[in-house]
Amino acid sequence: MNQIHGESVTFQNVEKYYGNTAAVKNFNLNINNSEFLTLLGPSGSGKTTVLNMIAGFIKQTSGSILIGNNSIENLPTEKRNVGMVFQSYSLFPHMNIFDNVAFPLKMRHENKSLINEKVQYALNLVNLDGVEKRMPNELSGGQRQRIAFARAIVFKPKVLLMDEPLGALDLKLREKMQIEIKNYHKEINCTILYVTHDQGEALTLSDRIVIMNKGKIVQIDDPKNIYDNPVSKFAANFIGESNILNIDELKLAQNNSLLKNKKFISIRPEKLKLIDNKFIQNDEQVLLNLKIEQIIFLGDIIKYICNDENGNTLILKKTRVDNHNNLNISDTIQVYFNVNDCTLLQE
Amino acid sequence: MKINIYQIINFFYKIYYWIVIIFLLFPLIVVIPISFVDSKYLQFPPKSFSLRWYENYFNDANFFVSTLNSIYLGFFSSIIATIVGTMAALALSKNNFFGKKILIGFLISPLIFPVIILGLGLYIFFSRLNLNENFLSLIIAHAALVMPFSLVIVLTSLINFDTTLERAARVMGANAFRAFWNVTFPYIRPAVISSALFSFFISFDELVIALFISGKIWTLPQRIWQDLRYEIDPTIAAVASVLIIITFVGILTGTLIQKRAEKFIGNIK
Repeated sequence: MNQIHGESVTFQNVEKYYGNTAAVKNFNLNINNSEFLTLLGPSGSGKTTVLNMIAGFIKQTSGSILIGNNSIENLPTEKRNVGMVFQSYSLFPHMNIFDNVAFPLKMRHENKSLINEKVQYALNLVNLDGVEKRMPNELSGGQRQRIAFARAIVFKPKVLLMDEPLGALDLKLREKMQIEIKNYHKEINCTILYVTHDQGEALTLSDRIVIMNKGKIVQIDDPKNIYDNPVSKFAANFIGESNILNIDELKLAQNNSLLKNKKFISIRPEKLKLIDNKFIQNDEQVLLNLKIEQIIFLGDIIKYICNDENGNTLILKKTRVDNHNNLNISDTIQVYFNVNDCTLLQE
Repeated sequence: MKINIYQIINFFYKIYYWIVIIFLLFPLIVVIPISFVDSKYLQFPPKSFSLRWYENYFNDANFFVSTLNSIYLGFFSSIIATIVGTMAALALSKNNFFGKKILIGFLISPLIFPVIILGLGLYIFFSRLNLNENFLSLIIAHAALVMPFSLVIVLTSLINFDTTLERAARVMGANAFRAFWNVTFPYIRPAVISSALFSFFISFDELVIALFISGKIWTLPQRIWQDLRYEIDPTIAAVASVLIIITFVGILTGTLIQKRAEKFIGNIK
């Protein structure tokens, strides 16, 4: 009954220049109806610029942005009908919670009983009914962020922008809120464009992830593919940890399929396997001799930082159930990986 | 027992501080008892008391008109200065541009220049325009004199203002004016009110510019000045006492509003 149906958002060759510096270059993206899409990148990668261009806080230098089929280029911020959640919550400090959440409705001149009903619905959604009369500074960080979310969706926007909304919260609360945001999205079903530099958050929440670097899109894909098949060194290292190896330096069997490529590969630390006495080598496996330099205990897993014969640093991760607890620093180990577990990088 | 050198310095600072306070406040303390004397002359300490000089003040048409003039003058110049100063503060806090500091310096220069120079400049300026001896000119002159106070007070209150609040209001459907009115203005309101109060009293007390420009329309400070020069009687002490009390209450109110605002802003953080 209260579902919002999302609208698609399309970027066509959008660019934003500050003087001669490009904040966003050659940006083409189509966000589907009701999709949860995350822009992921380090600070300065242009992800917030993209968000601000949709909100209308800044104007693109060239290209166009469409919500649904309509260009929003000439609409002022207040006419774009998008919801937004800010990192700093940005609740109005002089208004109580009710007035904060009712603000978008009042600006749209809705009648009083309808405002009451919608505010109740929004507060109910974020499990915070009963705080209407309190002031923002009387709430905790997590509660404030929930109110900010309620305020952003109370007028049922078709597109919701979220600018690092969990950045100010501590780790435990952040993980809890991630699950809540996911549930809210299921409930209200609007298109969400989420900005973060936290790869874990992006993997947890998104239908698709857009990795950005230096104003450009590096890769667009769903979380599983983006983890399993990174296209570049940047993408491989930005999401999770990765071992980057030069194919030329590997000892490959004669008919190994990697031989056709003279590029770099990326192999995830958990895909490196220790050679034990049950191991039978075939042509599609690559063997490595490593020397353990450092052992990092992480509770559920143990991380080994090793050097190979060519001086590359490799990371090896093992869950503690595996039989490797007798490894020590300076030990030499033999590991292998299957060729179909690694990814060829385009650069 | 060891006495720290800083304790000695501190002790002398305290004495120095109290001497300055007494020196500054003494004229105010003296003038109030004088206003209650029964004699025809300014007499301290007073030998007998009466309220006749207060009666004289309130019955004297000249004094009454001058008081009204000063109230009008303070009221209108304060309103103009507060509006202009607030608008300037908003513009300056939102934009960064080349020469911003120079512009701020220019805008607050009436605060720094000796008033007599400002008065002379305004006198020459208004003469050219044939606008001297005009009450409206005096209002404008005073507005120019007190505008820096509004600018500085409101600009200070905006330093900690989170501009994403205004963005948040915009994205939620408020146009530029409503975003200002519903979000930014409530935040700076205490500063605006207290700057209006300060402006009023600065204008209310001001003599030098009024002497240059007002002509035949006399303000209260001018009337006091005139009386001091020709006939000294304790009416002036009564007027001064009333002024002291009103100014004290006004400035105290302004300060309290500002303190409350600081506390309010502190709570948000």
